[in-house]
This record gives sequence, structure tokens and C-alpha cells, in this order.
Amino acid sequence: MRLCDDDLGTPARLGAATVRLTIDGRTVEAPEGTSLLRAAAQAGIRIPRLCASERLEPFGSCRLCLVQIEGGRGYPASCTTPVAEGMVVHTHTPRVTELRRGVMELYLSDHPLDCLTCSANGDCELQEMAALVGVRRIRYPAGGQKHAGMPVDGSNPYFAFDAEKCIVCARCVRACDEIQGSFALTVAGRGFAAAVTAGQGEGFLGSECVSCGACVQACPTAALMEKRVIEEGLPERAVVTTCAYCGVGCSFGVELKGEVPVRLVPDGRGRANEGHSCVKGRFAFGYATHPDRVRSPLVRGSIDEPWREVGWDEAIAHVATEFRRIQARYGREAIGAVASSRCTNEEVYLVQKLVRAAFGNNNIDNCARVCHSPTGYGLKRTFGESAGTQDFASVDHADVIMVIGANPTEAHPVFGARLKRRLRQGARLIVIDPRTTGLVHGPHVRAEYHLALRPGTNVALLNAMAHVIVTEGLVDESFVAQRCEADSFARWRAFIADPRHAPEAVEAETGVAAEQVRAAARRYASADNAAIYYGLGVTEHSQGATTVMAIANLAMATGNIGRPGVGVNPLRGQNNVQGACDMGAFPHELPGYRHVSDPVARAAFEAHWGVTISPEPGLRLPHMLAEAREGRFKGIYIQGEDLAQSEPDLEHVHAALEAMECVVVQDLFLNETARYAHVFLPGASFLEKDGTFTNAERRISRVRRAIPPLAGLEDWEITQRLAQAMGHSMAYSHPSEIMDEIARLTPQFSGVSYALLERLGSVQWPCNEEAPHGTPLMHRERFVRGEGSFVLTEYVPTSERPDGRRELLLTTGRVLAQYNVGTQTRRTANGVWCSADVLEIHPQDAEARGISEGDEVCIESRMGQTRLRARVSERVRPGMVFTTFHFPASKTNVLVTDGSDWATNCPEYKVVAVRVERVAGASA
Amino acid sequence: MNPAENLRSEAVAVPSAAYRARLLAMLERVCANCRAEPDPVATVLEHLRRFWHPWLRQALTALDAQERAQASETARQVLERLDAG
Repeated sequence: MRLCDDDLGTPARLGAATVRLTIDGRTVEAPEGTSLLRAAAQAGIRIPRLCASERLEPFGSCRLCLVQIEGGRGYPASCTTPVAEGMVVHTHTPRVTELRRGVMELYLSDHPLDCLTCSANGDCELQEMAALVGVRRIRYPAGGQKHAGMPVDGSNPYFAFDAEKCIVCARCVRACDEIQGSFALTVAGRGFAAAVTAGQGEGFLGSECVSCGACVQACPTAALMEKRVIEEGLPERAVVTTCAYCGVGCSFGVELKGEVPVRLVPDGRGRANEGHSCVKGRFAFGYATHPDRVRSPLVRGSIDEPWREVGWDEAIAHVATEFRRIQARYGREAIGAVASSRCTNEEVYLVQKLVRAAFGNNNIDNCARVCHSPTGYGLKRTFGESAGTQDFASVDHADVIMVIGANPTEAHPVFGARLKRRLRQGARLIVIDPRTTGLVHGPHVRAEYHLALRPGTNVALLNAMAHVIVTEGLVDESFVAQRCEADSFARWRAFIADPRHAPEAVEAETGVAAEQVRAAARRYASADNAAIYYGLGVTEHSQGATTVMAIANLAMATGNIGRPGVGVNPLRGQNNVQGACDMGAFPHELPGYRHVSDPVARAAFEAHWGVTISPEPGLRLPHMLAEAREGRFKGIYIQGEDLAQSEPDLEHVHAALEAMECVVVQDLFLNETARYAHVFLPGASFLEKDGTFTNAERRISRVRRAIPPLAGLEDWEITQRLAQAMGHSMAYSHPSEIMDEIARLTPQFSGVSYALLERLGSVQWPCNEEAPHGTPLMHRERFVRGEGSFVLTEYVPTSERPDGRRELLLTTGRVLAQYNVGTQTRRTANGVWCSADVLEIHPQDAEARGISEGDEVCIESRMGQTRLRARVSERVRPGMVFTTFHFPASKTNVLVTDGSDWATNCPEYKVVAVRVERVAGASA
Repeated sequence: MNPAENLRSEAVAVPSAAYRARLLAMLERVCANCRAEPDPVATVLEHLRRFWHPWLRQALTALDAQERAQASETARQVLERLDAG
């Protein structure tokens, strides 16, 4: 039994009626549809089982959970038998016990009885069930073992498949099908020769397996086992925490042997992931203890000098002295900070407090500037709150799902798996994306409409959909009348009804056939429940904020807000980017999205902190960099963000960093930005700290310290010391005290405390007097701003367009195995799936340029050039190319221009006009 | 010191021509995206007040006549209002 596991055998059924029955003489109540196995487990009656799991539909194959039902014939499997009123069930009669022993004998007759040396010894359900059933002998002669001697498949870097130990219960196959939806595994052969096989027998690595770990989690024996457990033995203790990769925010049990993390096991109680995981969260945690981790603060006088190891006191004093010197010479506004969306809420809160209280300005930003700042702007303006409207479970109720500029199966894999499950249940799918993502054509999943638009034309396309809705009478007039501003709707209706927004009028611009747009709009508008999920393909454009508001307009006009199965759902990229924004790591907003010009909000912080806060917005990150080149901005404190790799127009970024007099980098590793740093402060990984993360569904979850900080301090302690050194008193002894202050000063968080999180597991903000247990769905009765506001979304074409020299449009994204700039995943075995960025190019464009698969190509934009290997693929449409930005050597972001969203300055990563040429003499 | 006064006193450097051009381009993008609003000039000014650091707004006022001549009508009106404080 896994340390973090608590499995009741079959999924919960939420029937309206309750059934009363008797199990082993005890009266038991259970919802209609519940299995006997689960009802018994809930009553504390344990029935042996092997093929059943509460994460999988009942299968009834192992025949170990047989029971006797009075008045019934035979011995049915309790996992597939639903409870019934008045039923009398016996789970442990002599006959049932005899039958179970017979079944178990058969299993053991084809199983190596090497329990004492098996990697699952003490963690094996087969072993446990054999003990429970009480098998004492095996009557079948030796020699009948069909799986003995089968080779171990060790191709996957993280787990091994030992068919010899497999009992063919098919839990792994069903987990792959039902939970992940990859359909990578099957049971090949029949009878005793039946064996689990990956793909067509090519092994796990070569198959369609995405290494989510669901099969490993499901396996009741050592057949599928983590290699670290095989090598190091079973863990001794577990700490439940939250994943530090994407914005899904999966809950995991960190299982350790002493201070060494052995494995991470997804927590079935985690509401964001419900026991599921992906290859990054489940397996790619080795970076946390990688030898590259810096364990002492480093200081140097200039960036061409070698680093000098120093103690924490010296490093902190040096930073404080430098920052004070800069402010004395150049003014209070000459320094600023970037808070990390990888760090906890408490740590981000302290960084923005440091800036506002100790620096005395509002020059604070976070990585949302380069990803979802348009979401904050757009949803605040239309709905009144800078966050998504739903919880993840909402997708289970959606009838039509529209995915815009997002690739959740790669970038948010656990939510992607849940979305695919809903699609397999029959929900319709509309994909708006220039690229053919895995959702468009996947196993048992197919988009009804794939609107493969030209990059940069989101607003034109969404306006066209809105035009269809308005002009074809598809507006939910009742919802609009009751919930939205009459005047803004009237203005919008007149604006969007203009023929210039008709699908036919914009067909040439978007590249999408008008009839497709009309059909998709009708499908979205006529659904009972239609939900929109979107990603950076919406925000990282010159009209990112406008696109978000166009999405909000669509949802309001069709009444798809305020109940399960609908809503506007940004899929946020970083584990705590929602939290970083909530915590006020923005130059214009205090915690809780209150503008710095708001005197009431400012006064609350001023009174608590004992300082005066500037009412003027601070510098956004790109403006800090621009002002550095102008000579006015001189010092920066960068917590956990690799600006020198992740920002656009990298040559400009490098020049700006070089121009500063004090660059302080706080990170796990000496990243690219550290090349320009004068001080390096070694941070702590998520395994080494206490705190909270807030995921894309506004869910606040605990991060718990599993091992001590490798460099001695958690990140909040570093920031606190810096504040103290700069003369501002901070004296927190634990992150829970910081959360208490956040709750005191932030209305959306006023009910949040560590005690509440311990009690509930997690909670979605707003969590306050009105919603003491949080708010899974927002805007139910009314919008946060009162009435929903329609915004006029004029399409303004990007200036970044193909021309005679640069004929193709480059867009960028991520792949499953790597994460953002790769700081973490490049230091794991995930390189086996992706070891370099490549350029996807359509066969027509490749042929026209004499480019073949694997050729080295030169990509040139108006900002710079780089070289990548070509992957010829029909996943991209003609006229566009695609790449990722996971590897520093690729210099992908050298190509990205200085164009940005008009409202938020979120960079236009998704549209870069490029010239692509094969490098002579460099064929594959 | 009043923080607002502090901001003004620090903003002494004259922005480079390249930076001024970049800021003007940013302003033009804001203007283009607000052109459907009932009062585009007021909307743009409010946007600048809420989201742009005072240094950036001050840099716009440093645009010379030749640079302003290239600006759109909305942007020119915004600049005039910024000049007037």
C-alpha cells in the first residue's frame, strides 16, 4: 500500500437516493449505484481485491472480491455489483474464503515467489491479499509458469516493467485508457499466455506511452515499479505537498528515505489532480538534489570576475549596501524586483512588500508579465476579477469545449487528461489553434472543428464568431438582461453586428473558411453548457488583452457563466503564477488586485507596514529593462526567473542587464541571468520549504517542507533578511504568519489560514465570511464587478507580418517532457524524450527551401538569428513554423521581437516573421 | 518626501531618440486599440495613468515637434493633454 494511498475499490457514485443494506450483519447506507466493494470499505469491512481501484471503472476480472448475497445465485464480484435496498451480503463465509484461496493459488502459480528480495516487498497488494486470503500451499505443479523468464522492459528512464511479476489484472491498461487516455497499453495473447504490452510490443519508451505514471500507480505488484525504489528500497515516510511545475497544482506525497526523496506519488485526495500525474510532476524531481545546485551565496565586483563564496550575512549586507548606494545616487525609483511565480504565495508577498516598504517604490513584477497579464487585465475589466471562473471539475459537465491557443495535453497534462475523458464521454470539441495539437486528432478524441487560423488573428476570428451569434439570434437575451450592463451590451451588439466582422469579411485575414466559423459559433452558442479554455496562444499577442475580452464577451453573450460546465478558464503556465498575481507582484496593484491609486487599499497596507506607499504605478519588467539601457534603472532583485533566456528580444535584455550596477539573482542554479549577476543567492526548491501555491482554478494548496533547504534558508527567509538589512522590520518566524497577514489585508483571502488548509486540504479563493469554504465557481449570482461589462474589441492587425524577405510566421510553445526554459527538466532524465529544440516546418515550405528532416536550418527575424534542426511536419500549417524554447543553446527568444500586448506589454511571442534557410553543408 | 514628488525629482534624464520612438509606438498601439471607445482620448489617458510609470509618461512629453508630427490625431491629443498635466 502506497504511503499516500487510501483506495476504496471503485469510484464514488453520487446518486440522489440512499440505499440501506446489510453487510456481514451490519446495516450500511450508500448512495444508489455504489458497488458492494466500496460500500463495505466505507463501513470498514475489507474485501480482498486485486483488479479494483477507486480510480478505475469496475472490471470484475480478478474474482477475488467474490461475495455471497442472500437470495442470489452464485458468488458475484462485489466490485461490479451495485448495492440494492434490503440486500443482505456476506463477505467472509467459508465457501467464499475457499473460492478466494483457489483464485489466489492460480495467481501465485504463475508468479515468482521471491517476496523477500522483491522491490515491492512490503508494498505489494498481491502479497497483502495472499496473506489476507490465507493461502498456505499451491497445489499446481511447477513448470506451468507462462511469464517466468520474460525480459524486463527497462526502456523508460523512470520505471521498469517486469512481466514476470505481472498478474495481468489490467489495472495498468485501464489506467492508461480511462485516466490518461493514451491507450498505449494492451493485454496481448489469451489465457495463461496473456501479457501486458506497450504499443505493438516496442516497449514503453517506443510506444505511445506519455510516462504519466498512472500505470505504475495502478500496479498491485512490482511489475511496474519506479527504478529509484528498485535501486534504493521502499521509502520510510511521506510528506504531502504541491507540485512545482505547471498551473494545475497537483497534490503529491513526497516519499523519502531519510532526507532522500525516493518517489513522488500523486495524492488521491488532491482536488486538482485526483490521484493523477504527468511525467514532470511524477518523475522529474531529480533537479531538486542535482549537483548543479548552488549551496552558498556568491558575490563578485563585476560580471567579468569569478564568483567568491561568502556567508549569508555578507551577501545580504552587500546587496543592501549596493541598493542603498544606488538609491542615494540615482533616486528611489532606480531599483526594483521580479518575484518568482515558482515561489510560494508567502514568498511572493514578501518580495512585493520588500519593494513597496523597503525600496519605497512599486517597481515589482512577475512572470505573468510575459504570460497571463492580459488575462488579469481582460477578466478584471469584463467580469471584475483577474482569475478564471471555474474549478477543473467543471469540465466534467461541459457539452461543448472550446480550446483556444492552448495545448493542454502537453502543457497542462493532468487537466488535459481530464478534458480528454470528458470528450470520450461525448462532449464536442472546437480547437482554435494554428497548429494541429494532440487534441485535434488523438486516441478516441477528435475536434469537431479545428479553426487553424493564421497567427495573430485571434480577435478577428472571435469577433466573427460573436458576429454570427449576434446576427443569427443566438444571444442568451435573458442572461444578458439580468446579468450584464445594458449600455455596454447595446454598444457591443451594434459594434459586432457590423458587416466588417462577418466571417466572410475576415476569411482572407484569418485563413479560416467562413462556413467553419459560422458552424463553430453555432455549436458553441447552442450548447447547454459551453466552456472555454485558453492558453498563451491567446495572451502572447499584440492584442492579448483584447482577445481575453473577446472571449469574455462570447461567454456573456451566450450565458455561459456562473454554473458548472461553462466559464472562461485560463490555463496558467507556472505553478504559482496565479498566486504571484494575487499577491500583488504587479507594479500597479496591491495584493488582491487593488490599484495602487486606491487610497483605501493603500491606507490599510500603510497602517500595517508603517510606510508610505506610492500611488503611482511602478515600472513593468520590460520598462525596467528599457530604463536600464536609458541609464535610469540601476539595480534589480530577481527571484527565480531566468530573464536572460525567457524574455523576448534577448540581445536587448542582455544589454540592459549589463547596464545595471547591481543585479541580484536568487535561484536554484547559476542560470543564464546569473551571467549578468553581481550577487547570487541560492534559493530553495519546493521540497525544501513551507508555504502555499495557488493554481489556475484559484485553489490554494499547502507546500510542505520535506527536506531542509540545501543552502540553509527558505526563499522567504532570504527576502526577510534583505528587508531587515535595508532597514525595514520583518520578523516572521514561519510562513503561516505571513499568510495570516495576507488574510488580514486581502479581502479575497480573509478566511484563509494554515489551520483551514489542514482541515479542508485546499481552498479556492475568494475565501472569506461570505464563502468560508472557498468559491469553486465564480460569478454565480452576479459578477464580482456587479454587472458584466462588454468591451468593444476592435481588431488591430499586428505589425509583425510576413514580407518579401521573411515569408514565414514563427510561433512558439512547449512540449510535454520539458518545462519552460528547462532549468528543472534539463537536469532530469526527461531529455530522453526531448533533448533539443527543433523547428517544425510544413512539407510544402520545407520542399520550397530544399529542407529535409533533420537538416540544420538558419532562422532569421528582424531581431536576430539562430540555428535549429528541422522537423518536417503537417502539424503546422503552410506559412508558419513552430519551435520551443527549452534549451539555452537554441536562443529561440533572440528571434522574438519587441512587440507586445497594447494593454499589458505581454510580449508577442506567438508571432514572429522569419526567414528560414537550410544551412549549406549541414544536412542531417 | 511625498512619493509622487520623489518620482518627479528623479526623472531628470532626457530619454534617447530610440526610446522616445519606442514609447510613441506603444502609445499608438494603445490609441489604435481604444479607437472604438466613446471617448478614445480620455480612455487612453486613463490607461496611461493606471498602468504607465510616470517616467514613461514624462518621456512622452519630451517628444519633439518632428516626432509629434508623425503621431496620429488621437495620440497628438493625448500628448497635448499630458503636456498640460
